[in-house]
Amino acid sequence: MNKLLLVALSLLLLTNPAFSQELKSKFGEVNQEELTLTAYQKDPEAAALVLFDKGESYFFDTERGYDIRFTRTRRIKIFDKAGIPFSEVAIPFYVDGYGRTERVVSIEAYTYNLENGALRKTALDPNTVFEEKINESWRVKKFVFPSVKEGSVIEYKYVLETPFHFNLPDWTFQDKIPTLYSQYTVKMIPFYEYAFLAQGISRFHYHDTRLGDAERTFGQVSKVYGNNFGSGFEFKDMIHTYVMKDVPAFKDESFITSSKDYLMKIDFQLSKFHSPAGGTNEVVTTWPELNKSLLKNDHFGKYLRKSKRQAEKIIEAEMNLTGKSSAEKAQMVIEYVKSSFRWNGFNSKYTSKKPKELVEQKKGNAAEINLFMAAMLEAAGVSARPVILSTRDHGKIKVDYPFDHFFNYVVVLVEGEQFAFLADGTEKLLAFNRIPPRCINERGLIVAEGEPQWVNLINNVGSLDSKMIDLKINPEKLLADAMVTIQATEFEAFDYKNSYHNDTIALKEGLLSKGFNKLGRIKTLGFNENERPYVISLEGEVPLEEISNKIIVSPFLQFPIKENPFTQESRSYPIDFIYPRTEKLRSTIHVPQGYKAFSIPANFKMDNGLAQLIVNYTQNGGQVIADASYTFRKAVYTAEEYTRIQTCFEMMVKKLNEQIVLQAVE
Amino acid sequence: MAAHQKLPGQIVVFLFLLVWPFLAFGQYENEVLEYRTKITIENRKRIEEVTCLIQINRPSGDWIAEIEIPFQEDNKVEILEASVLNLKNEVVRELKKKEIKTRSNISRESFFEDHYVKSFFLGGNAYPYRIRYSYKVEVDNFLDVTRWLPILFTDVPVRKASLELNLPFDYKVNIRASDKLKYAAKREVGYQVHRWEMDGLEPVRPEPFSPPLQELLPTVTVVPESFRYGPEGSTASWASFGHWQAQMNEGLDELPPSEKAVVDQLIAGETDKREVIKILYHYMQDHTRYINVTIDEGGLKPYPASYVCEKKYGDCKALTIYMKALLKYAGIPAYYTIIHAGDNPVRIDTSLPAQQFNHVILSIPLEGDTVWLENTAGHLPYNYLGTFTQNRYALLVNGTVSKLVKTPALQAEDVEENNFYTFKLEPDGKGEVTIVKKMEGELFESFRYFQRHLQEEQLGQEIKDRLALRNYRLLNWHFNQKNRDDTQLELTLNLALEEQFRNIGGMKILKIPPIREFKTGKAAARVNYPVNRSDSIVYQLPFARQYKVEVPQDVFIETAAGSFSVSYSLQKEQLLVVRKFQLYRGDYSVEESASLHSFLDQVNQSSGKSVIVLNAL
Repeated sequence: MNKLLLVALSLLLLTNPAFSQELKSKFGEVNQEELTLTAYQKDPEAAALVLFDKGESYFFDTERGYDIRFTRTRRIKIFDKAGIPFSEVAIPFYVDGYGRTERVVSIEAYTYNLENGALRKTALDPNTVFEEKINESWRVKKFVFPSVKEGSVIEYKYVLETPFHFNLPDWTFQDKIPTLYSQYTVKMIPFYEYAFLAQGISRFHYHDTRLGDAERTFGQVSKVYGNNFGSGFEFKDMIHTYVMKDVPAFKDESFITSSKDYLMKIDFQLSKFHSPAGGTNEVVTTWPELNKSLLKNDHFGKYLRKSKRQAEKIIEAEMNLTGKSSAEKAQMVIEYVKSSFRWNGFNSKYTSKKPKELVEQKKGNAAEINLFMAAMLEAAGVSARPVILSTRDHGKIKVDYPFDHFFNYVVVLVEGEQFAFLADGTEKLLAFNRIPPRCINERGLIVAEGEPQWVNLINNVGSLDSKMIDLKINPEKLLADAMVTIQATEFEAFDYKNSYHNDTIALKEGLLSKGFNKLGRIKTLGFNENERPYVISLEGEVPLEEISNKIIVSPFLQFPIKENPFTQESRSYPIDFIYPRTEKLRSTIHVPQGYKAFSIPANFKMDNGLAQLIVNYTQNGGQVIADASYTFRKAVYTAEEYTRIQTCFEMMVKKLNEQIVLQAVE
Repeated sequence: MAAHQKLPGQIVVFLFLLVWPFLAFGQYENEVLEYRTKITIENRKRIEEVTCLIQINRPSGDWIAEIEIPFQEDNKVEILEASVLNLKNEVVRELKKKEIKTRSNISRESFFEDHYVKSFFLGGNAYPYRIRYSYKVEVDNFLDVTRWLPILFTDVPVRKASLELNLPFDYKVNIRASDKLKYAAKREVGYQVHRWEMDGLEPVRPEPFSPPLQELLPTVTVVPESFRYGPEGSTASWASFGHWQAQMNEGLDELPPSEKAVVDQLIAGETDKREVIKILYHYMQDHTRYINVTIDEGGLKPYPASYVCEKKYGDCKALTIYMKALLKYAGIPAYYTIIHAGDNPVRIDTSLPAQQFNHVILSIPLEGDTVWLENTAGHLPYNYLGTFTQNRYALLVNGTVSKLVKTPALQAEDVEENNFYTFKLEPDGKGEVTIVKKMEGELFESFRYFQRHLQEEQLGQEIKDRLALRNYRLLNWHFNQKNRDDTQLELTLNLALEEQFRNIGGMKILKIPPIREFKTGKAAARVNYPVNRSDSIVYQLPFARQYKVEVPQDVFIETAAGSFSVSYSLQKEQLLVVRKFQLYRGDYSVEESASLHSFLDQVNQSSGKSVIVLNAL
């Protein structure tokens, strides 16, 4: 058994073993208390409450062996109108496209209402269960509970059968509404062994492992005086039960990777297969094993090898690499891939089409494009190894747990004598040696034979957003003629490019709100040159304020942040900005003839180690020059550093929005 | 890991001063070179063949090569061609069958619909490239032969668009076509052929206050004189079209016995008709909710009243039929009334009886006036139509005497919004404000909805989103509605304030909370319902005597589009600002719209400039 699993289990054994509260409520029977409940004491504002949520996974016999039957029973109390949407239920299931499919074999649902003191139970009409086709692999069974109103208790039970043993259905104990009681029972058979991982749970309220009562058989069993002479054998299920009580509602915060990283849940992955015929197959219990299996996989390693021929053909026919250094070759190949293939928006570490189809269709998922790119690099004589990772919205991987399904993406580690960098072929607007922000999530695993090697995905290259502003004040019209040059590098450039796609109209629409009445000429430079700064230059008209015969000028227009996004007093999750960044603002204000600067804000400087903010004003003849910059040195800050980051934002809001006052000379 | 690259430290050169290459702006990212539609009616089936030739000029235009062909469960769809071409229109690659994917296509408002799309991608090798695809959809049941627009997407230019209609000689239709289109007709064997063409259509972008784009673009609408969709129907007149809908609804407005018992109990002893309607309407509002499930003919045929009785939910048709059934059992005839809902609806072409609607309400003619019931909104008062359905034509379905009716228009007195602010401020900018908002019209509708459907936290956010204040903490709020059928909602807010003064150059500057900023433009405009707002803002400044207080000049603007006024008065330590804003209902052509836009520009300007200055004495 996995060492880590043992540790986890022994920890759990320390929890109270005397727990014995069986749920009074059975599916199909509600009690008066549940019906008359008006609020949840521990969270009186909750719009609804999960009264219980019980899941069970069980291996049942099929002609081919075993499939998993997952049964879920869930009961919810609706307190007010805002809780009514919880009566719309969606049950997703997977179809692998090769004939194997998960099946929702039954759905049963009831609504309970108290009507004039009497219980009224309304069953779901099976004709109102619909099936939506999300895409080629995912379907959803969906239904709405009938007769739901404030005060209703709703409950449903469904059975989903799956032939996919790799991922035993996982279990989330937490929801957007609080949960009174959540229980997951897994009935293991001796042939499959799973490693499991609990997240966000310091201890279960109850955990138990015991042998099932029922005797099960595998193969042919024939007994004489209790001794089996058949070729098969008998066994009992090993039953694991996990319980959490009074789970609070999950509250989202901004600047986190994904709520998936913080929800209380439990995850399983097949680790060993003990063959009834004897012998044990380690499925994936170590990183080297995971790598090996990926390299063997049709949709990973085999695809990579099959790509080779296509890649060679392309290089021969379409690229001239002779005489190029390996660094140049690497860049050319990556740029070729970026310009030739389009990403279909799907994150994946597995391919779902053949290399030949990718080349024909010019479009593919992340794995199809990046593994093909790795093959092309190798064909060009550049070392390229796949690196699997988990995208930010997919949650963090746990380095201690070699779980295959933690990973959902693959990029390429490109190496030469003088260089080593990560590359991704899905984003045309990023430099060849950068991976997109969605991929920057702690670390990735190099897929290669031998000892596991990890790659730090965090990019410490700072991104810069610089704005040069030139304001010619026209006191008669109360306007300033503004020229603004924005220069952005790295991810800040990517952000501008991605938001506006170099489209004049979109740029104008996006930038107008930064303090302009109207925008005139707008030009850009470097949209297609990702290694250089992206430059947006614009001319516009800025309205000025007149107060008490004085002219008020916002030196940085409306570019600076106006409100502190961090309003909470404290924070429980890290603050993740993805990459370190600097913004520089420099404004030159031409004071018109007959006017002088009446007041200029004070200079300011703060540096708390984590971040820095500087604002300086200087006067130079007929000009006032305002210079400001701030830097967030780290990509990710801990929850303990929250207050300092919050303060920094507070000062940014204050100091970058201060104004200059001009007055007519008397 | 990654090779370090230094940040460019100083960017001191002003790039404007440099000569640099011009970008290829101006060229569209993609353009439709040809958009051809051919519709043939054969054995009462409608066969539509569409061919598109599109050029993609830049990677950002690739999205248009992501083809989606919507269809319904019972349609027959066939993709005839899908290829990538070079600029000589030579085929570079043909799509393979297995690249075509099918998925559900359920609109956001719906829970389920049996609508699907076939999708595929046609990507070229290098830019620019072209794609061509054509497909055929066969439909058995339909109400329109076509509602054609010469565009694929409003933001993509079309170089050439055409519509060809092949109609059997005995197939009678009503046609409405825009004069901007070229038209030709001819007779061919077995068919009367109509053909419309349009050369060169630039993208249209929605502008502030613009009427729905469908009204601004050239269109061709063709409606069959008789059709089969459920029962046989005729578009000879609104009466005949309504009669068809009545047949669709036949027998659906019957209550099951259990529900009849409920009605008996609810209205026992009540003789006043309006009271009976109100009681039953409240009952319907409190016990049902809106869930849209559209399958088969579900787009136009309602579920029966019994469906709602059992499930306590339904779409607008089901809920309306149910309400109709409740009233019918109580002896009050009510009429299923189909309408085009929305706060900026496409206007009904009254000369063309046809399915021009997207919603249904109930009308109950009583002595003297009509009671209107919106049955999908539990948060709205009895007999309230609001911005969603006011002031437009609707078809009252009443068998062979169905007719167009017009819903009442919201008047200025129906949409009053009165805000009373009382600020108490200290010299350091700290203080508090109490705001009482008396809301009608759109604001009333929104807040009643939020009140009913949102959790406290989200509700608080909605309130904050509508506050034009800074540096505040929302301490508490309180709603007050006299009764559920009152059309005014009062909201009282208490806020703690900080840093209310901007301190610049020795002045304390106080900004009057602006009214919302209006976007303006140059295009044709429509104000669908009036705005009628007044604000009374009191600042209690106990320290005011230590300052010279400057207030802006009073404002008074009166135009044909609306009026705006602000007056300031200072009495001892109290400053009073009274502001009124009215926008009148109106339709403005491109030429006329300047009057509206310039009025709103003036309001924006004046509102933005509205500051009070305290100069230390």
